[in-house]
Amino acid sequence: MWLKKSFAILVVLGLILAACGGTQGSNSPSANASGSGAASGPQILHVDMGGEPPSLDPTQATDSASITVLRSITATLVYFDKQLNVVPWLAKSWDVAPDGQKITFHLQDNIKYSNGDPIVAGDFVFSWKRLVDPRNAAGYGYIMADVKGGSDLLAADPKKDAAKIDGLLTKFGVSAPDDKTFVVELAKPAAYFVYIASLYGTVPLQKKWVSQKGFTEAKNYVGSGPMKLTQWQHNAKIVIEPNPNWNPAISAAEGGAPKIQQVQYSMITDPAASLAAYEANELDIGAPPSQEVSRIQNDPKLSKQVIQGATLNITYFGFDLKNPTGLFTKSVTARKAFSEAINKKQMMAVAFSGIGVVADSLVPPGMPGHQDTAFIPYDLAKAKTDFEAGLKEANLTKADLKLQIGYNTGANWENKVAFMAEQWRTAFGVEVKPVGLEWGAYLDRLSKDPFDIFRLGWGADYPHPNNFLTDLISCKSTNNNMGYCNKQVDDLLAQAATKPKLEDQLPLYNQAQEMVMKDAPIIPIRFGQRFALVKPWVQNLVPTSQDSQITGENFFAWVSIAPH
Amino acid sequence: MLGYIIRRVLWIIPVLFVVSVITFGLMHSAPGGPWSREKKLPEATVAALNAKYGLDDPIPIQYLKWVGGLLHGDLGPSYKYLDRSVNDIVADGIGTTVQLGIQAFLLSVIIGIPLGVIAALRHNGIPDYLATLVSVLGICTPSFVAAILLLVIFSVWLKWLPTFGWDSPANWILPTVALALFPIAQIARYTRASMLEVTRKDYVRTAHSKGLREGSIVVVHMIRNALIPVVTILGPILAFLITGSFIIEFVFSIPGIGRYYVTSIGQRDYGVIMAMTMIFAVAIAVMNLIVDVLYAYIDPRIRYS
Amino acid sequence: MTSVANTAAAPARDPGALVDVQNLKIHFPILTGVFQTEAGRVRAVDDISFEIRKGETLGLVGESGCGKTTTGRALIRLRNPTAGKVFFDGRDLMSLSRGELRRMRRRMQIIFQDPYGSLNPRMTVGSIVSEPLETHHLSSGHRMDRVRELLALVGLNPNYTNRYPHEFSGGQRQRIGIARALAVEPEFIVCDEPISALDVSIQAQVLNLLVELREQFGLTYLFIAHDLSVVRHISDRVGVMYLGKLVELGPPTAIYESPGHPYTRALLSAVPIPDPKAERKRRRVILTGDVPSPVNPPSGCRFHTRCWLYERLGRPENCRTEDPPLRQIGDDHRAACHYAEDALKSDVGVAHLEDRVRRGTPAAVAARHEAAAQAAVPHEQGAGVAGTGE
Repeated sequence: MWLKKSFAILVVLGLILAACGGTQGSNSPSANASGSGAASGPQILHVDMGGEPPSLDPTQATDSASITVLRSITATLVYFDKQLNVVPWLAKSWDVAPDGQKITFHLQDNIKYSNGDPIVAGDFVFSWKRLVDPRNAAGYGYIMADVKGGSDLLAADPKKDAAKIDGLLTKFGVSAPDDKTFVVELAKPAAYFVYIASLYGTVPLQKKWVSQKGFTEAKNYVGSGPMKLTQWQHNAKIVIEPNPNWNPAISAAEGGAPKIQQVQYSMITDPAASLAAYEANELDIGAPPSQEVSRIQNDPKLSKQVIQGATLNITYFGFDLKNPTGLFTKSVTARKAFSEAINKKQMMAVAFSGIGVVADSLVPPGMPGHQDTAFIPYDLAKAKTDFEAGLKEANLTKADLKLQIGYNTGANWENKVAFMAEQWRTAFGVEVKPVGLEWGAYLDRLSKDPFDIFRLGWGADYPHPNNFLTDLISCKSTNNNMGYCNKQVDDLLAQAATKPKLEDQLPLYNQAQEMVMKDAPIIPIRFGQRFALVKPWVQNLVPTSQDSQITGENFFAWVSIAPH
Repeated sequence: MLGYIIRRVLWIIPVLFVVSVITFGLMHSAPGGPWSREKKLPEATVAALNAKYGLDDPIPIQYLKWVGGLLHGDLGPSYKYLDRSVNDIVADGIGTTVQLGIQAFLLSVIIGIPLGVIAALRHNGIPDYLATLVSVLGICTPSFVAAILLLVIFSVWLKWLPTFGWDSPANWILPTVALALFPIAQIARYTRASMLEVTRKDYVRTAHSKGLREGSIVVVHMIRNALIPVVTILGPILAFLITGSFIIEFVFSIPGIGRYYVTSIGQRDYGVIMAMTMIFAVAIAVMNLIVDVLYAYIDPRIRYS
Repeated sequence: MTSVANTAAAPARDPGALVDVQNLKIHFPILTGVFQTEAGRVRAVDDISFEIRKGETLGLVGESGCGKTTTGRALIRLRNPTAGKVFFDGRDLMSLSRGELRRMRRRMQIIFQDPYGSLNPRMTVGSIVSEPLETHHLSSGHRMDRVRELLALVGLNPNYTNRYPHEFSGGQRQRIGIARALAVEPEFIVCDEPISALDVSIQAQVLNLLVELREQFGLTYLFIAHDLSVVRHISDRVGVMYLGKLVELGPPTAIYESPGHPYTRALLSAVPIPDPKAERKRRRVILTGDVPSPVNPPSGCRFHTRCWLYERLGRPENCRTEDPPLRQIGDDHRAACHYAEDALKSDVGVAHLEDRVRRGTPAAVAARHEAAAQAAVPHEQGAGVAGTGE
């Protein structure tokens, strides 16, 4: 009897093994990879986008997975090169009016959508109005706030003000005098605004396309970029291929017509599995989780495939300045003391696996306006005296302090927060209690009643200091969870926005940043750093600090694959 | 019997009602919402989004609207996947998830039951220890560990099987095995215990005394009786397997619906949370009903009226 | 089973014996710890020898845990002995091949105590009863007719073949068990406390049925009971077990009126007598203490730790050191006690009633009905004997 049963098991095992063996010959990934060793192998780039993109509607997308694809299949008026200089893209040139309140974009000749229709200036008008229309409730609609009439539209209630919205839209400051000219009128001088025209939310859209049901599905998709969407298997993969209607003249600097024949984006949700796929040669670009960094650095083969570089983001801890009786509200010196007590260099090595750059200011390196100055350097002795002084300033005793440091759970912040709490304990003999909350609950808490100290991050939408200062730390910024407000800083930022030239803006932004750092509303911790793996056969990859999800994603069209 | 089944089916309705009310209430009482971002959206945009999706209505009204949609077969919009409806998302993924679940179920039955039987027949012998070892490993190894282990061994080292995706049968093997490990162990343990109990029954001694062949004693008198309690756990196991596993779908990047159990909650994707809860509740209720009906069929002592 | 010590043992000593048990030992290892090492052994049956003669009914009594059920099962090789031999009709059961054993099973059957547990709940009565017929290729033509005949024989409605065991009462289930045992036309049936799980009102009926079938088919029974009174009226001989040993064996008159083992006398004194006068006159001893553990039985005579005679005789040394053999103390009467003669002289436990009921007398059957019905009642009250209730 038991013989029979074990035979059954053997049969099952055999079937499993047979199935494994069978795949080895036919469609196993390794066979695939080695089979492509012909003189010029298939020009297919395999990358992982980390999950299903929430939306490929350029108006609605707000997240990095969507952006990584949109960057290739849609095109904006202006783009940036690898040094992050603004360069012509669908617009061949643009004029800024002397008062800084009007920008006229002149479109390139011979630009077409992936369906062959010409791209006309009216499509930008339609697209921008779609973005600002409160009935569409676009997550990034607020980038239109500087356009004339934009803030009125953004503030309009889609139900109560329904009657007014159409009227407001006709007054919205975008127009197309002819098919090749797109004019933007601004509500106030905003020299950085041309950068906003590089955001994917501003791409041209055909009205007849987006009014279709299911227009974001691959079979319906009408893109304006160098690549086009050819396949979107939800939760599984996205495939893009060159857009035959792309005018190679536009991208002459990048290499003209797209070189790659296909980019396959997988949606591997587990970082460990993604690394496994990279190691199994199923992916050409890998993004290892931080706990794998040291293994990779010690691996003779993998360590040669590492690509590192700055990314335009910052991790910081904010102080709650809204609580009127709080230590940090009452005393700048105390804020400085808590900042001075953190040995960021050690923290980087211990808690971040050495990946990242110690942050001592707000604007990250690689972005205009970065200041390589340690405004509040690590100084334990000074921290101690500042702490005592701060207590006096605030008229508090050590015993009064019941400080909490907040962080979001499930993202490996525990050890970092613990490190900081330990440093404060050593420096001041003060317990700062770590409190972790689930992401949604955490964000909710920050907007209502922040912790005394809380973790947050900020990444660049566009490579301009305005995005790191005005959008984050000005009095009215919705992202200013600290409740920090310095009118002088706001004045400087407004003043900078009126200067048409970047070199005239930078001194003002620098001054603003210095002022902010003196007020110490935050403890900057770490500027982002990419730690990616790239197979040696991936050629012409252009990593930029603007890559949001995948290294080199902004210029995938011009990557080529060497025989391997 | 038919009357019994109809009554049980009707009972599912109030159960689903209670489950949906509780879930809806809990979900909306959780802090944060679908529009919470690290980069905060302006209040006006959040208000516009709430208006667009009807999230500015009072919660009871939202619930009634949701029920109304449900009765028309409309599960509402996804707040995360803005281009898509919950119907789309479920329709896209449920086939894959059910397929994976059934594969894992069949594998766990095909392996688990013989494993348990052999262990019991060779009680305290080497096959028993091996089977116990397998069971303990299966139960103690968290599925994400097992999944990653399988991935590293069979995909990274041996390069036999692909690491992710669902395109070909080769893709199915690792997730199926990883998903089946726990139920294999569960079924094997249960079968073993049940078999050991049956072994001590007088009717098995009777069978021996009748002079029956060993094989027919094991099959007719032991296994058939030992499997009665095993069937009770098969129902919930199948319900768990076909409604999807977050971990397995997450690790192997399987385009099913299982991953939404966790992600939809983190994202406060209300429509998806409700859909997933309902699917799970229906699956459990239906499986329990099937088990009860099956029970009456295989155990003559049980009769429903 | 290969560890039989005396492999060259001679066949049955008693030519009239259908079953001959020689030096039967059944030990269960106690496994403990991670590596399941043997920490000790439960000596469930420890070196017993007896025979069952063709056509006789041997009653086997003892407290629970004394090894009587284990002995019964070993007799038809439902359990393999640790050592010793069992001959059935002159053939050594341990030496039979699987196939031979299966064929031999036709000749020996068992009726279990639990009438429900012994019937496969997923099989109909028809298949339960007909299964052995199929296995042994009996009455191939009209198997269902034979099943109906058997059901009728045990007093069940022959049309119940498609019913399941749970649809019957306890007594009816036991009848099914009997029909099943009879199906293969056996010569020898082990009745393992067949009535003790039944309602009192049913016990007599089932007992009568067993007696009637015995007469009708000339069956040989090993009748196991924990109750002395049940056994008395249907047995030709009675064996008494204590802690894995057979301590006394003899005809009912000897066992009940002049027992030669102090344990038998202690058991008897716990049986109430339905005659107040006799009851008052009787000398009783109460067993004290628990039954010792069969893992570590007392040295010498196993009963000495609780023996009234041992105390009365001033604790003789050989009781503690020497295991008394089962020896002849009367006509067909054997006991395992160094001082059996002293026990015989005593009047402890014995009620001097006129025993009107004898097996084989014309009134026997009718009287047995009555006796069995009464016999079943009192064992609950036998508080003097530790652990009598099962």
